[in-house]
Amino acid sequence: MLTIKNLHARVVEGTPILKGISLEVKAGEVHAIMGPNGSGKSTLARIIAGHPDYQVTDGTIEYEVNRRRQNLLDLEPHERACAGIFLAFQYPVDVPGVSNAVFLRASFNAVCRYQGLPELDPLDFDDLLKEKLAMLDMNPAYVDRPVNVDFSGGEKKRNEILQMAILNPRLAVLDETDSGLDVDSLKLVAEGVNRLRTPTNATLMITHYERLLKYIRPDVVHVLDAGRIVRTGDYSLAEEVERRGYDWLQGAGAA
Amino acid sequence: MPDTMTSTADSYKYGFVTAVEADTIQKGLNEDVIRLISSKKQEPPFLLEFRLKAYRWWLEQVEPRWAHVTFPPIDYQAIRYFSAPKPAKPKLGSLSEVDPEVLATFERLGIPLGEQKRLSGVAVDAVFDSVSVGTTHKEVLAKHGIVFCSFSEAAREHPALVESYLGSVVPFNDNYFAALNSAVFTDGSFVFIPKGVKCPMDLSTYFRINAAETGQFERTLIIAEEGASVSYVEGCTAPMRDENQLHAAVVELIALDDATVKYSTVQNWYPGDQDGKGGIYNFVTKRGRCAGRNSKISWTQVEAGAAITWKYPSVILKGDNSVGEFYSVALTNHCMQADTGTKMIHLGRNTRSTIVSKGIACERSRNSYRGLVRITPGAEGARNYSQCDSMLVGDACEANTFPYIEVGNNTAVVEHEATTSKISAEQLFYLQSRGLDKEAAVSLLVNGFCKDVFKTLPLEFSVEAVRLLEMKLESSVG
Amino acid sequence: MNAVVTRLAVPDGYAGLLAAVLRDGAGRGEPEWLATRRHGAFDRLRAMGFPTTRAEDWKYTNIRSLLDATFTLPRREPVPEVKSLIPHHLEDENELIFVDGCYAPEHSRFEPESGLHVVSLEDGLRNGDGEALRQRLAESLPGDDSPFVCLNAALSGCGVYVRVDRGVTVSKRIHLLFLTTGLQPGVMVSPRVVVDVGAGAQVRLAQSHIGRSGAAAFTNVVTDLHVGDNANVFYTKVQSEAPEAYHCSFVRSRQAASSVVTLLDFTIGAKLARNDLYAGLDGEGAELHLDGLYAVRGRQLVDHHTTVDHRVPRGLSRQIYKGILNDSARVVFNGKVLVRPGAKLTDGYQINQNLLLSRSATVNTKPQLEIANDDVKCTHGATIGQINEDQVFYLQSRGIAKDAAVAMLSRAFVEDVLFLVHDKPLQESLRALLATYFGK
Repeated sequence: MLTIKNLHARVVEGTPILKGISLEVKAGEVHAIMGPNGSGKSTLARIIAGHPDYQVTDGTIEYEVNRRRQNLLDLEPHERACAGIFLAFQYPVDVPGVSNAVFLRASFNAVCRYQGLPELDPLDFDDLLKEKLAMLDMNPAYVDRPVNVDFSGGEKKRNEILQMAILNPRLAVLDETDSGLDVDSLKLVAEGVNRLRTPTNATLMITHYERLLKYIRPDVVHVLDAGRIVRTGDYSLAEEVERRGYDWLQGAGAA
Repeated sequence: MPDTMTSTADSYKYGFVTAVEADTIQKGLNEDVIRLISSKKQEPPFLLEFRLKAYRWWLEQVEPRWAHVTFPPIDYQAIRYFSAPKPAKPKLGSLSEVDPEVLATFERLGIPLGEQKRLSGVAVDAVFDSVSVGTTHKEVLAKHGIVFCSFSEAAREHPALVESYLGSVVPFNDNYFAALNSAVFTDGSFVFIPKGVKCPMDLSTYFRINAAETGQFERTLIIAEEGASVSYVEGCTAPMRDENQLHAAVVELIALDDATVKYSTVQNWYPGDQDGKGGIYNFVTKRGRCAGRNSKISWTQVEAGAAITWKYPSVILKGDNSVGEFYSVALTNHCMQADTGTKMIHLGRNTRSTIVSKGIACERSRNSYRGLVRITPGAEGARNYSQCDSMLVGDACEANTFPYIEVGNNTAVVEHEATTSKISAEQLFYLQSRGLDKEAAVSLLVNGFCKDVFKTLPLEFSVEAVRLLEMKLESSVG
Repeated sequence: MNAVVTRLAVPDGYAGLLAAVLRDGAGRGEPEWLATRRHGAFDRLRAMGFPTTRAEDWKYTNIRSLLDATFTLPRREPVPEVKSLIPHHLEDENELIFVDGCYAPEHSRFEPESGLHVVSLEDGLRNGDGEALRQRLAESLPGDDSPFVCLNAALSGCGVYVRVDRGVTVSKRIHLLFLTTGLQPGVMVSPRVVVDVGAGAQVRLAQSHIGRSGAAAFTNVVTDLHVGDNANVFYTKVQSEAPEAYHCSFVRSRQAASSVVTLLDFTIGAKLARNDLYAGLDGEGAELHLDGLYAVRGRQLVDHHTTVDHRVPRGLSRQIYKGILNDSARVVFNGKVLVRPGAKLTDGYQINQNLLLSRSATVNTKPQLEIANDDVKCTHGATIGQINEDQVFYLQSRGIAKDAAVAMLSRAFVEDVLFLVHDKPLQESLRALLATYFGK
């Protein structure tokens, strides 16, 4: 589904951050990307979503769904979203004045239009929204509040998962979705993610800690350091990182 | 139609000039010019006296400079104070006699005036440079006893009404620009809604500046008698020119007992180019008097054009239980400067006012809200609620809030709130990553920010206003 | 053209006051540069004159009566007793007492602490701190063009220079008490307070102006706070002058990176009080808490002009001004929040709330934002209202007399500002002072 080859990237006109990442995620798989602070994990997530602050200097990202292969780097951020890529932000952005309901419907219908599916009128959309809110155990009052404004950290993260549930992406990229969450919120968020796992979807989780991986079991674990993948393995690699930290892996990529 | 300037450099699509034969007088201002204007309009003597009184007062004043705007000195002798398109036939009267080029201009601006194409739900008075070229739907309105015509026509046909109300809300010596207007105003609209009549359609005036080196000084007077109501909308555009042009209008509204006047403006004067060259100086005095009990005056403005805007549509709440409202969206981009807001003067008991102001500042522009809420000792039980929000786009713009609140009695309750926020690249990316393209994302943000104001506009104008703001913002964001 | 008077001439008598101050200074061996400074300030004042209500910053405050009054300079006279003048005497603090504009060491008590240097201005100019002080006084600060700051610079007699060395935490509150006894009628007192707080230092300061009823004095005080990196300053100003008095005050604070400054302005006295306050957030990540509390009645006029100046990124300011007005009292609040170009990530909040207890009280408030930067979060607000009649009735129905009910609810209205005073003994003394407003 997602094939990254030799990806080099930097902050626009700034210092290089990613120095040759290669990675393949197949439909039905869950990959975890771990690594110390500053290793480039979040940068990778943001580049997949098309954040304008970064510049790809070498390498390719290909994305294939429904037998259609596309060069992801050619697409605008909203086209990537419409094509089924969803980034759960590490720091979800406040959007004052725009209610969750208005935002979610605008977004849902934009994706439907792009995929040639019928749009939903406000009443039908309301039903869909209620269903997803119940699934995530979220207070319905929350859809009338402006997007992320005065939300607590946990509410923001849950709001990201709600958006994911509505947009039903093929590839979900979760950027530090576990940071700042207490255990109860973490469980809720993980449950939400697990419910969206299907054989045709894939998930890429960016995380610093193994904590989230307890609840969302990855098939493949990568450790990123200084812009390179230094080790790839199965879940046991995450456990080892939890036990031993990152130090023993550092510098391995340069070798 | 010849376009002497096309809108390549800018998204301002109203920047064309119409080639039309005009009756234009020499530049400059003196008593003879004022007498000439008055005689061209065949005015009753009281009007000439009003003009001369205003002119003589104006001569003794200095141009005010307290607003948070800067501009070079205005040479009042370099302005032409009268320019009118010559009629196809000698006498202006019905639309069929108007120069077809002028009619075509209005059609191009989206304001068709001909019988076949005119907007059905809105009666339009079209003002081209200094004169009104025609008013639609006059017959229907006349059946209800409603007078909707150009100011010049009103002065000739209804002199008693004009004499008793002109200057009753904005006196000739109210301020520098109002005095100048009182001396040289050329046309504008006149509305009279008799007792008990609810005006069956929206009334609208469209102002077009066409000629070079002219000023536009229109005067609008709207009177709603006991129990009457009316919704009035004004729109305006001007060609793109390198020099600045002065627009100094006066609008007076009067609402008697139980009457309601709603006045909406979608202002899109030419704002000058990206470096601030050219554009209209929009120095306007707008004021309404809630003269009667339970009367209501409501201002809505969407200010998206003009190089400098300096206006404070106000309400004097004289009648007990009267209501004043001000809803405003002011968008500035390029090097535009806006110093705008309102004054709510509470005199009567249980008077209520609401102020909702949304300022959007982009690029190198300067956007200031300036407002006054005055509760006098006699205004027992008065209430005011003000909300003034600013949105900044880019780090070279300026957004200021100057709310003056004067409360002289303890039965009043006054609340003022203001916030400042921004449209950031991060916000746009967030919305885009959820599938919205840039235009949809900007539109969502603008609508979210301005919805409290947009919902007070008549429907068709609200759509126009939203589109206008989106168009202006897209070039400034991201 | 209509001639509009926009400036008022400096009263003739002021030149005589300057001459006397210079004579007195020369007698005490005042340095030459100080005399030059006095001349310069007075010349500037004469050139600009005093403002009329045509000036935007003086729109609601007419100072003609102040300029028409005749004032004399304070004379040093022995005062046997001052304790009774101090309504909120606080234990466990260092007190410096000034009586009618003269430092009174015999009534002061001061326990030296290491790293803390406190000298009266006269001494400071002569001893080792003279050079540091001269430099401080030579710096130009916002507000230097205010006529009352010029007047203070020309005539200042008494004052204090407080210096806290880098990293020092001063244990005791330093309390500067300016008392007006009324024994010298029509005295003009021009104190100058200069505070230097070194990097990482911490200090609590209080400045009180207290007048005995009948003392129609004019206090014109200027306080400058220079706060270093990472320092923490808690400054309280209490104004409880005589009901006949005039009070002009200018507090200027400039703070460096990551410092935390709390300024509390408490006003209850004087016939006419003008409080100017400038707080500059000059260093990144500086935090400012600016709180005001006023309770006025009779024909008192209090005019607050505050400026919070965000000059660099990541500044945080929180301003809460609350007050109660009774009788024909008037309050002006003009609160300006400036966010300069480049002061990104500024977080500003300002609110002014007024409670009107009488029909003829007047509030003119103008909470003003000037923002030249998009990456900021600023909110301001103002409310003006009366006491909730339902609440009064509810309390009455439980046996509380109407006056007491009104007092109780009014105190509750300003309680949240008092609550912000973490210094408990000070909080209690302010509460006690406020109680005098409600009589009894």
